[in-house]
Amino acid sequence: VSFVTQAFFLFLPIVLLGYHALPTRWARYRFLLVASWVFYMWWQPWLITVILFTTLVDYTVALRIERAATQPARRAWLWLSIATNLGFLGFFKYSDALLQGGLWVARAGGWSAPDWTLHILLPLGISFHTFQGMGYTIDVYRGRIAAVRSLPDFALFIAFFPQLVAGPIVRAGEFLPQMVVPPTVTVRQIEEGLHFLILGFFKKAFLADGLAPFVDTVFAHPELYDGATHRWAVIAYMAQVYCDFAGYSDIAVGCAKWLGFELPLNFRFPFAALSPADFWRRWHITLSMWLRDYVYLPLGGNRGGMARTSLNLLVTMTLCGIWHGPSWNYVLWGFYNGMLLVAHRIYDRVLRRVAWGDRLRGSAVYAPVALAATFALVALGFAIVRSHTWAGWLLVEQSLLGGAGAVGAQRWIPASIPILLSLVAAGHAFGELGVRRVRMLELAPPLRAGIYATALVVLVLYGTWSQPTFIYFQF
Amino acid sequence: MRGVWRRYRLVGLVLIGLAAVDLVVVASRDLWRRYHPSDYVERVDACRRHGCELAVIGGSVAEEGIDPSALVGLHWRGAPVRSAYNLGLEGATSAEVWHAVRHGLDAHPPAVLVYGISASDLNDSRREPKGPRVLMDLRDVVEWMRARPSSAEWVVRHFLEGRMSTVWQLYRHREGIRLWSAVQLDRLWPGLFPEAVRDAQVNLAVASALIDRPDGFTSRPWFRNGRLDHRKTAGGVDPRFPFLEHYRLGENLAYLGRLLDWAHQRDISVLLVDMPVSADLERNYGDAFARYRQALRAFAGERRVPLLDAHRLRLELSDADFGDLVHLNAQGSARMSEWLRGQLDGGPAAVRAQHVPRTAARREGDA
Repeated sequence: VSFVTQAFFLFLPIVLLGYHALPTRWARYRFLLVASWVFYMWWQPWLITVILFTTLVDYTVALRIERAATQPARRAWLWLSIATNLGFLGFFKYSDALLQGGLWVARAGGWSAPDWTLHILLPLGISFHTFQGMGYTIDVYRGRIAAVRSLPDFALFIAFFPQLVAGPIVRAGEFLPQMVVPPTVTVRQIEEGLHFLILGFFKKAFLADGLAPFVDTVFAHPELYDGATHRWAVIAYMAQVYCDFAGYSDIAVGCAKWLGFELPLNFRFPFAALSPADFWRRWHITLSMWLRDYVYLPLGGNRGGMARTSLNLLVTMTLCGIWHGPSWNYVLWGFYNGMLLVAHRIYDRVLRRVAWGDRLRGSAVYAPVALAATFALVALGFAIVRSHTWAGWLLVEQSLLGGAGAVGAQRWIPASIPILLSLVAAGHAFGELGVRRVRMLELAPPLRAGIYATALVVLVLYGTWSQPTFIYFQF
Repeated sequence: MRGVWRRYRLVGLVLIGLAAVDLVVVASRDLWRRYHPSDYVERVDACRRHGCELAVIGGSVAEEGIDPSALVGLHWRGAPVRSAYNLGLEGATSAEVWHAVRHGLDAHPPAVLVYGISASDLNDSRREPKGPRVLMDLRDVVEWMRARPSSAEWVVRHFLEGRMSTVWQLYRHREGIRLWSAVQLDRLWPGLFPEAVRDAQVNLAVASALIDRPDGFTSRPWFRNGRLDHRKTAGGVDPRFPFLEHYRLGENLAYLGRLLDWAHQRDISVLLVDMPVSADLERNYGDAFARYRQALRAFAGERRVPLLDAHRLRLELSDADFGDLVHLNAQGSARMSEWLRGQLDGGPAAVRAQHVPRTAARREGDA
């Protein structure tokens, strides 16, 4: 079930009523587990077997790691979990691309390779729940958490429906302790849940889906449009992806709150970042943190000098790109972001020891310039991901660097695009000025209620509701 | 109570805010309806309000193709027809036509029902959600579920959606408010939302016509002013016509039977008019049209209802008379209406003499 379908608006009230009507912790969590599996099976029933199998493996492996007498045995069990999770992820996500790559190499070598495709259906959320499962067994291996004794409790941690399909990627250490105490929902959670649900639907159905037709049209044939249109389209695409994914995450957080759970926030006004490193601390935060803790730090992190640190950053970010999808766009995008992080790290180290550099960073103009520079650098990366062809990508990148576009190309910027983008910018400005992470929650209840009611009215009147899937479903 | 309010104040305030908005929406509902008339509801209401002696029914082919004013004055059962109304419904199948007739014409039944039918009306593979949403009552839904169990979930879902949308007025009138606001913004900043403003203008024209014209003939500019031959030359005609895909017959034919039963009980004359379609459509969906015509002829013969064949060759219609593949334009509908008047003038005996389908005629001859 997608969050923006009629089925979900029927599903959520039924789950909430059933969940809160049940008397015991045991009954509530079992009900929630079944509801989560139903939520998943709505789309492709048989693919639930993937979740069931990896759940069983990770649950068993964690217990075995705890009971193993020797370090090699513990390590062997851990590798079984990693191999299972990555094996499923690799098979479903990358095997077709690897086959195509092999066939391409064969053809390049002069062999007449057949035109094979595997037509493998990617299970929804596999990139998220495999990472969650692996994170759990690694944490047990590291001794950071104890293995869960109850299989249904562990299965609920993996399959919890609000975040099952597209995150946030929740750590076992964050989620499982919440299951120890009986689930109760506080008034604060009801209010915050309402906030995140309305905000999430607003971002998705009004902002992201409102921007989508313009982005799709321009990127489908970039050669027809001029440089200014390309620049607007790239900015619109950045805002679209942000609103689509942050919208999903907000809805997940809101649903979880109404069930008495707290999920981590996944975005924190990413386009207000002052450096590439700052951007990744604000964009898809749970993935960034996962990659930091389970890839970057095990590789050595920043402990081996500048060269080694740079290599670790490049490897981590390239893997981040590959995680997003089996295409060269994502590999290049990941590598590009790694390069940005390396370049920023070098620049930061160089200027930190220089007096005029420190003065520059302390001046009033630094923040706006850093913000604009970071935004422009991130935009260059987004254009890589969205382009269908290398020629189209080059054209758009030239426009981002000041080009005018193809000869005779037209300018087409619908009036709704600046309006929608200004709303995204206003949201960033408003949020960034606050002390708390969610500034709107500080406002007086009547004012908040007015904002929520207005947002709902705008959603009903102008929400698109035409794209039931979210962009991150494909990852 | 005060404690509960304090705890749930925010949620309560949001609900109060939405209720206040709904009150404002209700107060101006006529305005929103003009900007986005629910064509099914407005047409059935207007037909019920105006009443008529002759009703043209059917889908959009009848809605666009038969001008009821051309039929006023013809003689039926020895008396001139003083009023005619076009109750054609865009996208309707025979099921929606039956429900519209039942709810719109039951109070003041006409003397004659002219059903401008086309192959798409009888295609069971298509379903029109506006039917359960706005035309059907609970009894219709139960009947549907019995007759078409494979689409029981569909009909209940759309019926409930239709009923629930009447609870939340903001949701019910959202399209009208959206178009109204687009027009207001366009006055301030011209060219801001050109497509919405165009839609609003068309809707306002249709709504005005429904209110001003007592005969329900509200042809849309796209069809009225269009020409298939010009569109073909410009390359803007999609040869596919989804309404005829996966052609199946049976369930909608049963609804046509119900309509005839209803008319028979009220002594209403019914005439089936097989409406003209373009040569391209007939060629692209030859199998569907062959099956449709065979089934319709057999049905009309069995029920002994006159079937008028308004084939384009008989009426000498060309692509210049069609707005698109299936709908007549202004020129085409004028010729069609004139031809129909000629066929109907003289009453049931004259029509029956010319147009009782062959199967029935043969059976009568055998007897």
